[in-house]
Amino acid sequence: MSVHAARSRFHLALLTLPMLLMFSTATGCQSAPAIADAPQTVFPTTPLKQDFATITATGLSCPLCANNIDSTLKKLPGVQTVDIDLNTGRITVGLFGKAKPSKASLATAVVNAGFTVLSVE
Amino acid sequence: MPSPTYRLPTQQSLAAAVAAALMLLLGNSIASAQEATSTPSTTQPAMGHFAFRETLRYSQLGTDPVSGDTDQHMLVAQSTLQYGVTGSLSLSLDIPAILADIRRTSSGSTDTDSGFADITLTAKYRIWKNDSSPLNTTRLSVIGGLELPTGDGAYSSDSVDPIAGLVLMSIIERWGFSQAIRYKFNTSGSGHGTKLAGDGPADALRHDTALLYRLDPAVYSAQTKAAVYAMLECNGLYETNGDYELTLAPGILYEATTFAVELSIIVPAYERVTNRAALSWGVALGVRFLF
Repeated sequence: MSVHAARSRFHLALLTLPMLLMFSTATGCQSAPAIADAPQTVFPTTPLKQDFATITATGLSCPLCANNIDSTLKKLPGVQTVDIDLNTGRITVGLFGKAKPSKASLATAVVNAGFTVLSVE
Repeated sequence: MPSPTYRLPTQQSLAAAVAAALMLLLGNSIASAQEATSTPSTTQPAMGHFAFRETLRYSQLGTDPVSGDTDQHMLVAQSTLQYGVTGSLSLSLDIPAILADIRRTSSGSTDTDSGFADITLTAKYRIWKNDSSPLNTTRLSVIGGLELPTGDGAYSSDSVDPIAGLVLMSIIERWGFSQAIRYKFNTSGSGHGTKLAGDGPADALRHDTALLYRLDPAVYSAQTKAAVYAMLECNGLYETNGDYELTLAPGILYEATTFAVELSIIVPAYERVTNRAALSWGVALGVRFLF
């Protein structure tokens, strides 16, 4: 095989990688996070019992950022809905089921999305 | 300096070009927020998430002082796959595909080519941030990467080239500002004079500045689902062979919660280019999907 042919096949293989990742994401196969950032405030790790939690965050900056938070929070078991007010930084999380997340896991999810958490109520 | 070796498109090159075009349609993206077309920012996907971005750039070039080719047009598709390792660290894979490279040779014939340029692996790590309000943030990231000699013929530097850089981004209410500086070391110092700007035998220093202003909405609310920005970029490329090119790129960015579309016009502001064809003008169209 010539060097040119090898390079072309290599590039074609690379270009198929995003498609494979897209399908793997759609089927729920996610790479496990290797390292997590920690919120600056220590939040309780006790699972919540209420049906809604309110997170106040900063640095949200734009609608796409909001989607980053939405997709990260919805990966947590027990999170059903996420509503984000960019103007106030308030994130309202609808919880359901028996296995609800803790304040700590909610805060960590927002931090892992790249933002700062002020409070979790 | 020897003239670059051109070749007519092969089946493999055309297949690669089609694949690149398909990625434009099928790209799955968790987009980078308020990021201008050509200027890096400090944004990244959330931890454990992937982002995919596709940018088409059409360029009309002047006469190539090395080969004598004229009437040059290039269409390049830049595919970028980014992964959030943590909330502060991301890895990126950039794959540029030259979909069409059309020129008139000094003998009067029209030559057409396509292929891949060198891929780049980049790590971006946010070393500092200040999220001062629900919207406002200032962030600083360092960039480290490698450009690998995987490109085809005249589109490859034929060397493993390290890249180092810094990016500063600040968003204050309706305004966004990004400043990036990146240096690429050409380790081989040789090469057959690739025609792509910044990919020649010399080291390359890029300085990029972007200013964004949110046209709509004036104030975000809980019902906000999209925003429109005016953007202006000033992008500079200095190569250690003496070439320097400064371009301005006014544009517009439409950003929703699940996708974004951007369009820019690229015009030269200053050019001192003697080792490759200089840019006459260009257009960039970018699409980012999130689903």
